[in-house]
Amino acid sequence: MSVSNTLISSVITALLGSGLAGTAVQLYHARTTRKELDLKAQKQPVEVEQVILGGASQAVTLLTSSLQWAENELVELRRDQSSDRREIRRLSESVEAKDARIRELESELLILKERFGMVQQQLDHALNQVKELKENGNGNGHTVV
Amino acid sequence: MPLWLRGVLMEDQFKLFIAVLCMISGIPLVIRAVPAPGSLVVVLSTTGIRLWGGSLGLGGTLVVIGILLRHVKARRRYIEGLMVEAAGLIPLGLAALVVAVLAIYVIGTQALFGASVYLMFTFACGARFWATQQIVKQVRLAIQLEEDGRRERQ
Repeated sequence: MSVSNTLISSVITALLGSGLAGTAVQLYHARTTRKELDLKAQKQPVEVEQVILGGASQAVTLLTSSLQWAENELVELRRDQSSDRREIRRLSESVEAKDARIRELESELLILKERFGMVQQQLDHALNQVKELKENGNGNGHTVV
Repeated sequence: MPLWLRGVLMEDQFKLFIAVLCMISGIPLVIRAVPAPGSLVVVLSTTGIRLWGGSLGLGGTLVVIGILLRHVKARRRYIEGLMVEAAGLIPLGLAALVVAVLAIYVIGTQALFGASVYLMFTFACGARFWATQQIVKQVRLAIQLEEDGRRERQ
């Protein structure tokens, strides 16, 4: 082992040793804290327990409020959904009504076209008669008024 | 499933896994049941390697004990569990730091990735140590305030 390795080894050993010493100190603190808390808990067990469990209670409160928020969001979404459905239904009814009206107008248009055809025929017929009468009138030397 | 086990698995599963891993990697090194990592063998003496294994094993064991104390006896041993966990994090973080430094020293930049992982582990141990200290401080302060309030009410 070279000199630098020996030096590094010593430093690391010292570092790890100090770490273990730190662990021992921390464990000692844990022990004294435990004794202290036990003593306090004997005096007023409920208060200490409440304080220790305060964090848990806060977490539960936070979760509860999150849950409440999620539920409210869900209710809001459901309301929106139902309103959208109503709108869709209304639009669909309106479309159906318009389709029916279009069909009705189309059939009326057909009837009108038929009538127009008939009137056209009658007009043609009348014009032919007028023409014939005019020709006949000219041949007889009379004037048709 | 018992409530405490459920708590451990829901909240501290990763910590428990890492701690158990460190425990079962470190303890055999102390009793020389398994060979030590190469970069450690090159630099450290047998005592150094045992000390490193001991740090790893002890750290892992203390973290496991801390987690179990917090969950099994949550009402009475929560703070103690946190402090025991913090005590275990010191040797764990240092052991990881030692491996990172030695890997770079012995292997060079090729070991950069492995060393970074160990360094991040050291950083995580430090962060958790700081967090546990803060929680303990807050709870102690809360207890003190509660006591003061009780005295004033009386």
